[in-house]
Amino acid sequence: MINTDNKAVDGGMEMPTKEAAKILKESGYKISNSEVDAFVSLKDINKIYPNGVQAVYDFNIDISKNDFIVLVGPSGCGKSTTLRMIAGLEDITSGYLYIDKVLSNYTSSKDRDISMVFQNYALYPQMTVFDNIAFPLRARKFRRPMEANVSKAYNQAVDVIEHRKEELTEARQNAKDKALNFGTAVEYVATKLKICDGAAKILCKAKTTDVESIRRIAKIKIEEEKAKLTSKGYSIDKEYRLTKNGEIQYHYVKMSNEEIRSRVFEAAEILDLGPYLDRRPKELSGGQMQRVALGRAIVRNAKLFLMDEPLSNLDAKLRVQMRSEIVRIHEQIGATTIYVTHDQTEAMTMATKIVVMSKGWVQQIGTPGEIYRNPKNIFVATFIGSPAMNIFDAEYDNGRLVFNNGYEIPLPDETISRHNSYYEAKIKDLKRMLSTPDFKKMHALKLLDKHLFGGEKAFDVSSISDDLDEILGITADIECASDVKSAVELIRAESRTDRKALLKLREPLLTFEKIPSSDIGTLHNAQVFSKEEIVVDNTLYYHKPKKKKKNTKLNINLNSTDIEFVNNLYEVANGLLAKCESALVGRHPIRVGVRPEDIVLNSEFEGNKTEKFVTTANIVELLGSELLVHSEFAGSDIIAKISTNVLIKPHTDVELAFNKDKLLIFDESCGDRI
Amino acid sequence: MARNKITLEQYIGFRKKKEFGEKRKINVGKIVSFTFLLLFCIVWLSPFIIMFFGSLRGYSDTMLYPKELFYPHSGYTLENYEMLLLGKLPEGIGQVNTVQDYKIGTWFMNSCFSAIGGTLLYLLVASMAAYAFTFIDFKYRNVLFAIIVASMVIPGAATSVGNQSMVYSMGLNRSLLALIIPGLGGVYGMYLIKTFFESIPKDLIESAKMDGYSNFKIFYKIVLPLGKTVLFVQGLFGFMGGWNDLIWPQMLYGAKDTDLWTLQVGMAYIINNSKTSNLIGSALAGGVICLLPVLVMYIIAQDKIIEGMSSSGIKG
Amino acid sequence: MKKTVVLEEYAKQRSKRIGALKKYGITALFLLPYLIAFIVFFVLPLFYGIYISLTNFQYGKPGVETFNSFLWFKMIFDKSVMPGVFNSFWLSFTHTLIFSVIMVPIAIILPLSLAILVNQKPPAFKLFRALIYMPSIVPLTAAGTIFTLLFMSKSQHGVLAEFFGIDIQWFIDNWFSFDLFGQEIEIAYAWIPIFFMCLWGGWGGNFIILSAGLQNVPKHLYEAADIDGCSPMRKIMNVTVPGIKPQLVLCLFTTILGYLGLYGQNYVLSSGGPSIAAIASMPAGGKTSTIMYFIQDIVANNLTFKSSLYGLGAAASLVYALFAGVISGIQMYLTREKKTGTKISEAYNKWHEIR
Repeated sequence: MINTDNKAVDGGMEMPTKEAAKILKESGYKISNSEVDAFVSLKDINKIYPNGVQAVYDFNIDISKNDFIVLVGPSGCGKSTTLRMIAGLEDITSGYLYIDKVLSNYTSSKDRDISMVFQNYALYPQMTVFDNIAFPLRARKFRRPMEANVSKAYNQAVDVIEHRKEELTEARQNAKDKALNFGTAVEYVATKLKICDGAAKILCKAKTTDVESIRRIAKIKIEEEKAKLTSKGYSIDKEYRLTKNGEIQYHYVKMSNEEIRSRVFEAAEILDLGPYLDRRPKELSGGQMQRVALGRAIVRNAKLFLMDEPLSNLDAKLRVQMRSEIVRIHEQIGATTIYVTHDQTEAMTMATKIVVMSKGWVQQIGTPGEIYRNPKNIFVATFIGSPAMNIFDAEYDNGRLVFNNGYEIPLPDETISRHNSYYEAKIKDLKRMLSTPDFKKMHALKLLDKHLFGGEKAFDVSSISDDLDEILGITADIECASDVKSAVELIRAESRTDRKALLKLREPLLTFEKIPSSDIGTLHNAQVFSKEEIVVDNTLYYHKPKKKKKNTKLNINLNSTDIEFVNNLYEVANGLLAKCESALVGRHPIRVGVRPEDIVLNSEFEGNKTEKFVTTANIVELLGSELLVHSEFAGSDIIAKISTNVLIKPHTDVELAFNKDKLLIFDESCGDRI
Repeated sequence: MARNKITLEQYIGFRKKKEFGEKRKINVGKIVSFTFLLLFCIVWLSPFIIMFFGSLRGYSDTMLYPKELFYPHSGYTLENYEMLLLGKLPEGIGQVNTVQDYKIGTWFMNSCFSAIGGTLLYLLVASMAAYAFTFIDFKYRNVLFAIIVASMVIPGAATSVGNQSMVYSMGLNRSLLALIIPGLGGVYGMYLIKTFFESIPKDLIESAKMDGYSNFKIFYKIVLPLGKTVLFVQGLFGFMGGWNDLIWPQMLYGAKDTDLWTLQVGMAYIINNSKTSNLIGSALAGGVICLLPVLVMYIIAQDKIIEGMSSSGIKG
Repeated sequence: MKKTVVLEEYAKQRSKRIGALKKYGITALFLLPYLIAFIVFFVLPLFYGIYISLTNFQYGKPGVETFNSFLWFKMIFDKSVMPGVFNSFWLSFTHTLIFSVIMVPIAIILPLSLAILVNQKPPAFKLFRALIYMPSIVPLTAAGTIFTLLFMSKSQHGVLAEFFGIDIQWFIDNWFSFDLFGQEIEIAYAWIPIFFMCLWGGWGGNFIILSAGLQNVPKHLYEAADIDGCSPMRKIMNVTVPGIKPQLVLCLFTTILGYLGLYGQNYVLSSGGPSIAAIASMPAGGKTSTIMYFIQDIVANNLTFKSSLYGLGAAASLVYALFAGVISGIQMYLTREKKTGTKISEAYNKWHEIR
């Protein structure tokens, strides 16, 4: 167990290894970083599974006290992995995790002072609700001041007999009454008179209420204890705590029954679990189990709360109810919370800060409002908000947006210049990327793999000679040039060659490892967001996540050089570069996003709007204060949210327009917002 | 050529992981348990090997070179099997009267009849009853089922003596049918089949009824196909139970009814003889013959058997 | 006057009648085969067995028996009636009990520890699981041949005698003896082969059930326990053991019942022998006899006993069944659903009031 008495040392100092070991030992292996001032801080956290699948890339976030952070994203985006890394259930591959300013990468979960609510509640089936909630209190020892128990008990007992005799008789009477079934009589008396269990025991055992006799016994016992303690060098202060040289002494002890009782009861009070305390988990409904799981989490007053999709097993109505319950509890106890969900509604309603993730990447971090208004890319834009944002394919032509039905929107100068500078920056970045050695190697690989995985077993050297030349040219100025050269020479030494020789050439090329994660991120998004349809989670009904496919076994030996790649980042970067370059000169495809509430009725809306257009309302859904109008525009379905002032009938024409200030434009190839 | 393909990102991740120096964790527990299990299995399976090689060892080798267990002195021989199956005595053994009583072929067939026939018949009868208890609503259904289930507390020994006389009174004591029929009233299999049938959604049966299916059609078109796994597992256990049963056939047929003996009864007799006349090789050969059907079945349906066993433990 | 009906009502009544008939017909078709078998071969034999145990019934000659005023039960419970039977029955009973007491813990702990090992998921753990279960499917007689070969005496070239030079007449010699309630009980070496045969193939089912139970303990409970700050020992006590408790109870009781019914092993290996001189002419008068052996000796293996003591067999089987039934009863009691109390919530209410 980590010695919490010691202060953490600053980990930023430089020192010889031997000394470092000594300092670490003295500090109880607690290291802090003076630069970290957030309560919880994740710095460049990466998680790579043994088969190379990277679940989390460069996760960075600072969380301050009392925050309610929601990690949100579709399944498989790495949000749960991140949470489990914070919890210590999963190893961190690289990066730094600070909890309460202490480096916690390798501390075990029980020493991180966290509590967690699991998706399937993880209640101990054999225990009652009370025992379940009390479990974290019983499982560990707590730091408590050392106390002179005997003196405390006797003094309290004497005090009660002297001053509150009526109360005592009443309490004892009640405790005897079998109807008042309060565990044991001692516990009842203790709670009733607000004294410690020891004092209550004395009072219940004492046959007489004769003050003098009890006082006499008390005096002897107290003296006895005092003598014993003073011989050990302790002295007792007013609150019966032991002190040594004027300092209060602490020790680690099991929590006393009275404290457990009152803590569990308090938690039960907060969560309304009083009537269920005797039940076992299988006798509870989903919502009740959820509350018990919450109770187990809050009872310990942990520094940090982690919740892993806690509501996903509840039905829709209960989920809404529990949502506000959790928010209420968070406000009541104010613990810092990290909450994982794939429901954007939960994220929007509960969070003080949302982290949107996709495929291991943090796409955006911000408050719900920020994320809703200023999504960073097309993924965030479509993932957040219900109904989802309308996305149109359009073309950008010299400052105008041209939809495929001929409808045009001229863009303000500001947007045009932003557009140009975005692409200029992008081109510059891609060029830098392509000039790095790793990308050159990938380029060479591309040329080589064309032959290697073409299906042939042997090659005429003359037929691949051109490509070999090119490979030599590309790799001329990087560190593995000589290796490449010797391999090429080996191939050229004979007129025909086989796969083995080509694989040999592959060896020096397969050595990239210095690619910054951010570059991979850019290219990754370019691959994912451009072509694939973005699946928007149904926000009302959870799909039960299938069994997690962790560590899918590869029959492939990653150490060998004979691995075929399905994609080549060089190609992706090259394609992206070409697209960006063409974007600066002429017409190019682009995506336009409009939130449903920003499609307005032409007659109603007075603000800055685009030219009106007429469509047929196919379906009209009444949502109380608003209407959802489904119709078609420029070849794609659109949903408009319109206030109910105007009645729109299905299958009639409506005149609509876009709110010009709220139009969002996304790059077609990598989904970034321009 | 089917080749595993991975994304380049994955490869980069793998390289990075290597660079971070995070090697695959060597799990000490796994290594320890592997070694121990390996040793354990070697020790525990050696009797099989001893039995198999012992059965291939000739009579004279057994007597003269008992230490050459796996490589008999004069080579492998089938004389033990010949003795059992054909009644042919090996040279030098002298006259052994009991060998003439060995009717291992008949016993084998009797066992097959008992195990296979009994199992199939029981499956049919029990699954029909389970169907009635699950899907047909009749008066006192639950009471009747509760009584039947409660009778599981009564051990088989309580009824066996009564059954023996019952079968005698019915005139079945000289018939192979007596091996099969008394087992039809077994509760445990029926109970398990019923538990499985309960997990079939009632809607399925009801919609079939709406479509005009009769109960029989529902039974063999819907319920039996859905329950085929549980029936299969039940069948496997039934077969093994029937094949390995010793007590009931012994109670049924006396020492003279050798034509009615099952393989188990016969084998017990053979072992008893072999202990006194150094014919252990023939007993081992008999053991191999006796084991073979169950072993083959186990090897084929090993996963199903283990699965069935586990789920019976989980459901309790 | 002719009786009249409203046609509609008549039609309704008729279809109701026919519907009911049809339904009961179908029920009967599905249920009767099983029900008849159940009644004829379970319920009736039960009572028939009781009847036999109360009369001087002779096997093969039903109909001439008369009530014999509990003679068979008196034989079992009263030494003075027929000391030989009394001794051999209770000796068999003691053998069975002692052997169970030795065997049952082994048949739980050994498979449990193997299940824990297999649950570590070492390479090829599925193969190991299949192999470990394999001895349990082996027919008793087939296993009996092997263990006969292993434990044959030196003169008969048994494997143990040949390879390890152990010169013991396993199925004849006495091992040791001790005093139980003033009666000397002799333990034969023959128990050792029986013990090894049970050790080899007597617990495969337990192993499979326990390893399935271990696998079924939810993983997230271990994670929750980690976060709650549990030590490894606490994790075992609070997560693993409660997680496999149903399986443990099941295995425990099936094993107990299994060893109480021990018969095949001692029949095949030692034929209940070596016999005890004093009661050699009694049923199961051997040093490795068991309860089941006693019953089986009377009703199946020995024609003399079968004709003269048949009712005693029935009575003994009833006594045994009662004993086994009590044990299953205990099992049912242990696995019953526990009722939920109200103690803590009442305490909570009080606490709430006091505040």
